[in-house]
Amino acid sequence: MNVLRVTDLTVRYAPDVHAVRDVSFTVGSGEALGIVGESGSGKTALALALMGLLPEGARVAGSVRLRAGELLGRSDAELSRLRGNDLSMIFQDALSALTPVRTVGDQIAETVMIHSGATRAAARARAVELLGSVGIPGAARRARAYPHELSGGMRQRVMIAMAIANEPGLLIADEPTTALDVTVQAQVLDVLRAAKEATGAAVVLISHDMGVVAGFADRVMVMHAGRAVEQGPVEQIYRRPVTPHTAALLRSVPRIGESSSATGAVVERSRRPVVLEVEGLVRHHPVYKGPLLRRRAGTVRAVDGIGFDVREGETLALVGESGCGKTTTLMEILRLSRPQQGRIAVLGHDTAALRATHRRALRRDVQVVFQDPYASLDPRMRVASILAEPLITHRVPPSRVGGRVEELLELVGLGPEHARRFPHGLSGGEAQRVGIARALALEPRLLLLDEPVAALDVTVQGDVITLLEELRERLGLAYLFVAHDLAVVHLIADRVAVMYMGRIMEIGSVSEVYGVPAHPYTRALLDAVPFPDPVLERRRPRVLLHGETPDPASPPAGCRFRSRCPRYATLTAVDGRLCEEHEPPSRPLRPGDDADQSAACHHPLVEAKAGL
Amino acid sequence: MAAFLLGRLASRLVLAVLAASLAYALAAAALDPRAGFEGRAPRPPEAVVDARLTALNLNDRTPLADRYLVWAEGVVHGDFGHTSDGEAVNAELWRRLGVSFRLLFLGAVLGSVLGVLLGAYAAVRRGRTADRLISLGSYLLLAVPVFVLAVLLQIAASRANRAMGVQAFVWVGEATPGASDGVIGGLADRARHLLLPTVTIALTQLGLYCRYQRAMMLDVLHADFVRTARAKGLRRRSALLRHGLRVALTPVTTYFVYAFGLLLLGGIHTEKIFGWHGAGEWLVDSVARGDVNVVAAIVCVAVCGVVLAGLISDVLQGVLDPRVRAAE
Amino acid sequence: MTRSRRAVAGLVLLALVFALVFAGPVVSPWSWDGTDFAAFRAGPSAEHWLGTTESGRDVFAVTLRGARTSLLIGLAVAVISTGIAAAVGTVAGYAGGRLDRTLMWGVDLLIVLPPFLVVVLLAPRLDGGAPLLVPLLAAFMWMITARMVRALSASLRDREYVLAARFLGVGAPRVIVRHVLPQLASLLVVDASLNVSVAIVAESGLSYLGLGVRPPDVSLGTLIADGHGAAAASPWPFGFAAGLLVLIVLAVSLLGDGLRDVLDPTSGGAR
Repeated sequence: MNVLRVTDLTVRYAPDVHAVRDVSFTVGSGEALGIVGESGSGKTALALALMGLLPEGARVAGSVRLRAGELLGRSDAELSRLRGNDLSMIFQDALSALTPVRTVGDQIAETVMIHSGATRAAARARAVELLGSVGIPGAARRARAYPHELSGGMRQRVMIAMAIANEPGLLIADEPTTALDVTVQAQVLDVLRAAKEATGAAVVLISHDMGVVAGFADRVMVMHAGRAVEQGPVEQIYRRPVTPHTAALLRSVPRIGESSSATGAVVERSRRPVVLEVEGLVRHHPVYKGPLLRRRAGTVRAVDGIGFDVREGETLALVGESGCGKTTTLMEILRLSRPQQGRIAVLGHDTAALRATHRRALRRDVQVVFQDPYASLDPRMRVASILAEPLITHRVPPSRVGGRVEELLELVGLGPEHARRFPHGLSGGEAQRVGIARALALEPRLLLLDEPVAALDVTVQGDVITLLEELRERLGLAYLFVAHDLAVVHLIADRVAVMYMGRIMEIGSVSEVYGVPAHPYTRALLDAVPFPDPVLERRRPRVLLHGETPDPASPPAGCRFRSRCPRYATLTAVDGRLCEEHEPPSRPLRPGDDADQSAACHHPLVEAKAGL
Repeated sequence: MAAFLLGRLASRLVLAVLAASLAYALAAAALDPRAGFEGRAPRPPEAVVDARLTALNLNDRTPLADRYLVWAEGVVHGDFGHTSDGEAVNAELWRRLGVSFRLLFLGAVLGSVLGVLLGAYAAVRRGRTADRLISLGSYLLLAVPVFVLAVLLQIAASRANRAMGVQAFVWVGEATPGASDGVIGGLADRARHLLLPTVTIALTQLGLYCRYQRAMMLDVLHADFVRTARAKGLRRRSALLRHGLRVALTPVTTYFVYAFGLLLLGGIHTEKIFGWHGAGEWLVDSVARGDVNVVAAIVCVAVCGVVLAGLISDVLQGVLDPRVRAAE
Repeated sequence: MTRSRRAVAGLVLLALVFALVFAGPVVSPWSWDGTDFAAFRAGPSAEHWLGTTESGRDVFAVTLRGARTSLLIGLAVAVISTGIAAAVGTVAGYAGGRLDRTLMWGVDLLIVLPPFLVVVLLAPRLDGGAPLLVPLLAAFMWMITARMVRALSASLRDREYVLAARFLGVGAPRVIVRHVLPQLASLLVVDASLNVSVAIVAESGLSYLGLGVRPPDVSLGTLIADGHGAAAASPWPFGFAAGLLVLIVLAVSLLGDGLRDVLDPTSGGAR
């Protein structure tokens, strides 16, 4: 039986700005419809139109029928009796979607009270029960917490609890896991799946991530520029897409498992010069507390003793979940000054010993590209001035600046006509190319890339990655590439270092680390990445991590991954003692071998394999 | 919460002590009490003036630091010294503060509460007639300075009196001198005297709060959490009231201190115009007379008032927003 | 649409006031300091368009003179105080650390010390000189703006394009001038325009108490004070001065608020 039937739905903002055009679909009870599309394809406008929550001024036409009743054209009063009761929505950013000044228990209880007329006490009890059912430990205590006191994953669980409070027939989830780390995303998707099973609701899951939809949806609808370009059963869409748009979308999704296109330099690694060397790098942030005399209450160990090197012509990727210290590491290198502990050497120069003039000169050799292409360009400057800034700063004669700017634009695949534009007149991909051109202006030898493609749509991601690879080969650059997306890293990197809570858990060549991960954390990270293929995604065995990253101010004693480690959980008490008492040092896995994979684990997975 | 408040209290106290000292230094350096004595007829001999000034701790020939120490010691013991006429500052100060308080309190409370309500209402009715009227009114109120508003009200009241043929409105001073119709009559007389000044103060504060609250409320009108509240099944108005208003109130509490400063300033003009012998009037007169100790005392009290306003704003913020409590 | 309408309304009003204030004296038959011994407290007539004051001055001429003084003081104070705020705020916000804490502590101290009281206290030392009133008023009006500028600059400091400039080797003063200040330009323009109205009200408030502009010079404040006693009987001296004051403040705040909405759509509406 169809729970939701949408016919020829059209949403317009201004008279001729169509957010959604003539979209029709149905969702049955217990069925999950995935809606995929790139940013601006009209997914969110569609969801809000279903809920009747579009901003004032939006015009809706067509028909939305929930079971037998038409929703369009009803008053706010009539709709509010349905919202939260018969249909409910899970929003993307739970931090801003929850009221900051009221406890989460209160907010869930309110949902119950609005529709059931339950007493406050009964609603509170129900809220605690709901929090428990979405897997929040210590639900009674957590119900009294405010949204800002919970982690991102917990907040999203609260959103889910709120949405299923009255067992609605239709659940709309708008990018419910986009802001979350992969391991937490996997947990939240499981909760959502369980909620769907338990309530038998029809689910509309909106996502830009082809992998998430592949694992969750029964049927898929692909949106592009407000239209539904294709819909059908999930296997059909992924395996035999009909429209070129869907095919292109699927092709551009980076996948782990395909052969990496990063070939690396021809010359053997050990013969190439070291561009960047980091040893025992430490960056701690003190935490102060106390009313009168602020005393030091603890230390956030953002980076806690890491070491690696990057050689000419290669890419080292630092991967890890948010808060693991990868960006802090990058910033420490960019400062080009004495670290709190440890040593950083750029092109053989120890940064601790640099003088001001020398440091300035060295800045020419180390440049950076940031994540958000628009945020990294001054909105009030034209592209030409943005590219000229580094040249003028480093005293390139003014007569040569104009020519160099054109050269740079050409280098990154832009034309001279882009020079006069402002950043907001560029597309995301173009803006990121300008950011790359600026970084290349002074002919650096080392480029630090901070999630350079994370803010871009998948179809654009591929182009930028290809450009970065070409540039590395042509200019003989070395890259330090910070990313959270393991599939992207797999595409571009030669070597990879997996970070967790300020330490490197595993480091080695991409083929080794991805092929035979030695550290349980690496294994779990790889398992958590959703795979854009419905059959493989549902069939593969995987180990899910429990819980979330502990408070960085008080990591567990011994191995800091212990609290979430699936392997530690299976160890005997005797074997586990080592994990509890000693922080594992990073050890090469196959000493003597020319491979360079190392892992910081007392009981690495690879040894276990070798033992068989 | 307690720790948070304690922290704020301590840092504000330090500021208050410094600001009060600075106020004394400024008053002592800028004002010239000697001129007042020398201007008397017949002109007293210099030695007499010197002795008198020294006795009152007003002698500009004593180093400023020494005068400050004498003054500060007095203040620590709760004594603000003497006026240039040799009277104790304290007694007169408390009396006049009472007058100022009676003048300002009601107007300030009424004005801020009504302003917040009107501003929030206007934002919810954004773009409708009610919003336009309220916005226009608040613009006008903000453009009319207190001393113009007060005079306009007086003119209107006297017209009304003439039109009705009875003295319905009275506005000079706190009470009609000599009139005593028992306790109830006395209170009624006071209330009548209070009406116009209170309206003056209330209107100026109302304009201020109304504009600010409207702006803050507009910010939450389209906030994600209001949308969530509606997605749960709350109607637009209850979603805005239950979830939006409280969040929109928090920034207004930080505005409290700024509005308090303007209140003090408005108070000076209101006292002058309505003939209330409060602290503001005393301050202006004392500045003209070069009466250092009186000026320093009043500025001290004002500093304490501002610090108190800041503290109240901290408490309100802490109560309204758990994130503020956690930040400390 | 309504946003720009508000700014345009303010601008038009302000232009009218300026035209009146600077062109009025040219067409008026009376000079502002002339006394007509034949007419004291006279009503409007062909000779004295808006009548005369108690001391026989031409209301039209003397009020325009007062408005001119008030306007000039307001403009000068606003420019200076916003300038101080921009300098202190950007340096504190961009530098951060100890310099930031010290500067902001100073700002806090000045906020706690009620500015108007301090100006009242120091005003007698001015001996009626309007030029000295300007820095005095400016010195006590910049703190709240400075705090806003500081907060914005501090957030800009971690903005990626500012970081990028820093990592390119661009020095701090140049980063502030090239990347931080231009972002604040709209805020500063708006603030300066709103400060004009605050300064005019503060100036006339002081002058009303006899502590600002003093005879023989006139400002709107002194004129309102002089006219208020007889306002019920002869409304012109008070009414014209008060009306002009309200009009100026209204025009400037309309312009300022309108500009803010046009330049910075993210901000709310009031300060």
